[in-house]
Amino acid sequence: MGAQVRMLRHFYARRLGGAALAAGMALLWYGVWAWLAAVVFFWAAHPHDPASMARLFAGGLFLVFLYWQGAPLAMAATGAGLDWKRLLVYPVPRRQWFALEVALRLSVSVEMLLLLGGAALGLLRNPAAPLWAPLAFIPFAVINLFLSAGFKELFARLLARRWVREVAVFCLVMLAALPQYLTSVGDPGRNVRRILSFPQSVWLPWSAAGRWAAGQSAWPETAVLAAWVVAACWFGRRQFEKSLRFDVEAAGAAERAGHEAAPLLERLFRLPSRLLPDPLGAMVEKEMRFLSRAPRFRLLFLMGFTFGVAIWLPLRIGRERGPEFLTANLLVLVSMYALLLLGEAVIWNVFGYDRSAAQFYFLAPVPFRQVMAAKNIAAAVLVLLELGLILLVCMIVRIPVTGAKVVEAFAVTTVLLSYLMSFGNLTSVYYPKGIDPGQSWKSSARSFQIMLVLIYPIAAFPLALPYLARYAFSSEAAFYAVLPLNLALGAWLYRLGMESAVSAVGARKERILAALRESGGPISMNV
Amino acid sequence: MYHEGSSMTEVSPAIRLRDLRKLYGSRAAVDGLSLEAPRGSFFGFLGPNGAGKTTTIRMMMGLAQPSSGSIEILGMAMPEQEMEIKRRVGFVPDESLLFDHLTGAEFLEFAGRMYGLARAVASARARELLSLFELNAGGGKLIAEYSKGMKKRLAMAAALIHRPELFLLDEPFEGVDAMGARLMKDLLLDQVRRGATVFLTSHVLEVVERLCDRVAIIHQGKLVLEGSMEELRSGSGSLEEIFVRVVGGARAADVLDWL
Repeated sequence: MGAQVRMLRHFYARRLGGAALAAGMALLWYGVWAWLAAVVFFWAAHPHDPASMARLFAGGLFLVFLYWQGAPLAMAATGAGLDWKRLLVYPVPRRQWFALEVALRLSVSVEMLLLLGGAALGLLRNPAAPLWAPLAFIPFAVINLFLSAGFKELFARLLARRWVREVAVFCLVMLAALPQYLTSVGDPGRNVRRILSFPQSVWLPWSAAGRWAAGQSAWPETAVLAAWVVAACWFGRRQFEKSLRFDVEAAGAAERAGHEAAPLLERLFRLPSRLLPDPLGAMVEKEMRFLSRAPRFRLLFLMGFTFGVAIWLPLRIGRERGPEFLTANLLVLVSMYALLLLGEAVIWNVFGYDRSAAQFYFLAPVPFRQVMAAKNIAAAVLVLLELGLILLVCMIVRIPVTGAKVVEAFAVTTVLLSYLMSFGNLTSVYYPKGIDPGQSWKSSARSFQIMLVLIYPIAAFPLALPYLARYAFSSEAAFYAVLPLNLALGAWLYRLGMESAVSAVGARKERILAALRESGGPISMNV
Repeated sequence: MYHEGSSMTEVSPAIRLRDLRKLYGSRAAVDGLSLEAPRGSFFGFLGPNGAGKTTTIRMMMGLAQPSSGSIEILGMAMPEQEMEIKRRVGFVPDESLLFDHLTGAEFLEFAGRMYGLARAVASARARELLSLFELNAGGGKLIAEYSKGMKKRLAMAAALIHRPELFLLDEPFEGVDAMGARLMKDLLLDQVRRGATVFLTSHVLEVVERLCDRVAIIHQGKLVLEGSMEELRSGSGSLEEIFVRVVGGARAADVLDWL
């Protein structure tokens, strides 16, 4: 734990600006959760009918359970962690490592601990609640910590296998889109009530904890929760042990029969070289080959055309209730969402996957401008390919897309891409970060993701103009009259971004390479 | 690719460093280093860990900016003629410059094309180099799946693909097995016989002693010894003894009484 704290101290001491931004955003994020905790506190502090209180606690705790176990997986944020395999050389009993792993799960549970704390404090203030009522949340939290440790290890192993990884992500995508379906199809209120009333069996941990917290009874619930603690501990420990023994190399051996591309794919890879002169063609070809094999990129690419459609599809199914703008612009929205996902790999940190190999670009007799241009061309090709797949998925699931909407989606995405690349070329030079393309489960740093939250609306803002023109004049012609202005702005911004990146790179070369070759070591902070 | 240079290029040394300095804050990683590596020489650049060897090589390749001093490579000034220098130098760094998710053949072809070779030529040379370095057995193996020694062999193959005039090699034999190391040494000696220059850092002093005809030793960023192998051998002892005498250092057993 001392090593973890020291690592964080050194990490943030070197990135004061990023640390300040991250601290500000964290304050905002946890502020919202603290506010929710206060709402829970005031609700729990007042006497209610015990039966309805138990039911509401059970429903609420079920949601807490879902968030606790699901959110870190959906956000690909595994929290603070240690690379146990590197630490196995030390003579420390494995049960101590497991205890530490469970303690580290707290780093992705703070939101839920705030809610449980609010509820517990509220119950303490509630004159009708017995003094032992708040204790219900302790075993419930312990169960969640053990389970989250187990699920993290289980998913990490699943994602190390190529095809299992793709299937697992697809299932996760469908699961994540489930609430969206349930609130869009049929009667949303009834659906939500059904979700909350579904897990009311006393044998389930949230129901048992809910009944205990509502003061209905304690002993049967204690027994149920104790059994769950034991089961969760067994599950977490077993998954942890299995991960310690897990051989990533052996797991991937099956997929190593050969990486030579199929003839059709090979022709696709070679296409840029036929259209572009070397070294530009060679670099674009290299990018296409490299990214198509990088597990992390494949995951993002897969999510781009499945998750996007899955998340917006309910608007089509329940279109009579969906906002007209959203249903009318489904394809554009899905395309922009895909762009947002792919941005991490191909826009914001273009040397991230190359890591120390990025020095090759500085060693070869190639101007840096050409290197950036090649990266941008590859990004554009991949984004357009993604749009093609989105279109295909839309056709398969029978989302009506007109030719005009297809043209609009491609045009708007291209314009947005030009804006994003103008920013991205700068962030790639000023905020480079080495990312392991083999680790599909690790996201880029949260401080960087927070910065993107600020950049995206700024970059997308000029695109509001053609939509405003369409709205104001009720005319497609007005939309397409304004869009070229956006494109011109995009071209100007792109040129500006490129010039700035090229002029900055000379002085920043050492810092870029140092940042790219930095490895996490045995201790990582992936939140 | 060999270039028939001007008369100035012919007479100038392969490497000329003048009062080269690299500061990190107030700490000097390289401190007023001046040296010359003649063309056609096999030059050993030695020093203990942290002496500034890698920093010097990185400055020579334009990966790090000198705080002061000048660098001349093959008669051309760095960074003014950076592109031309890069075209004529083959570099094997101490850390990987290989793209993990390419196969060895793809990487070599890519490297060749980046150095201006036509695709067909790059592809043919890539195949030959893979065969020479016994790397074609892996078939479509990704570089990520290569062992450390295989990666070093591939990096060496990539440094050779454009037939450079000067090789800058930072610990090229590290992690390479005896057969691979032997092959690399033979290849480098062939290149020197052909007129190329090799500038090599290595901690294996026996290798340096056997291969190099000139040696420079730096310590704490400063040049502490330079000369031909004959000059050094004329004194007493092996290169290791000279190195230890020049660089100094205490024996652990003398310092740690508990060990």
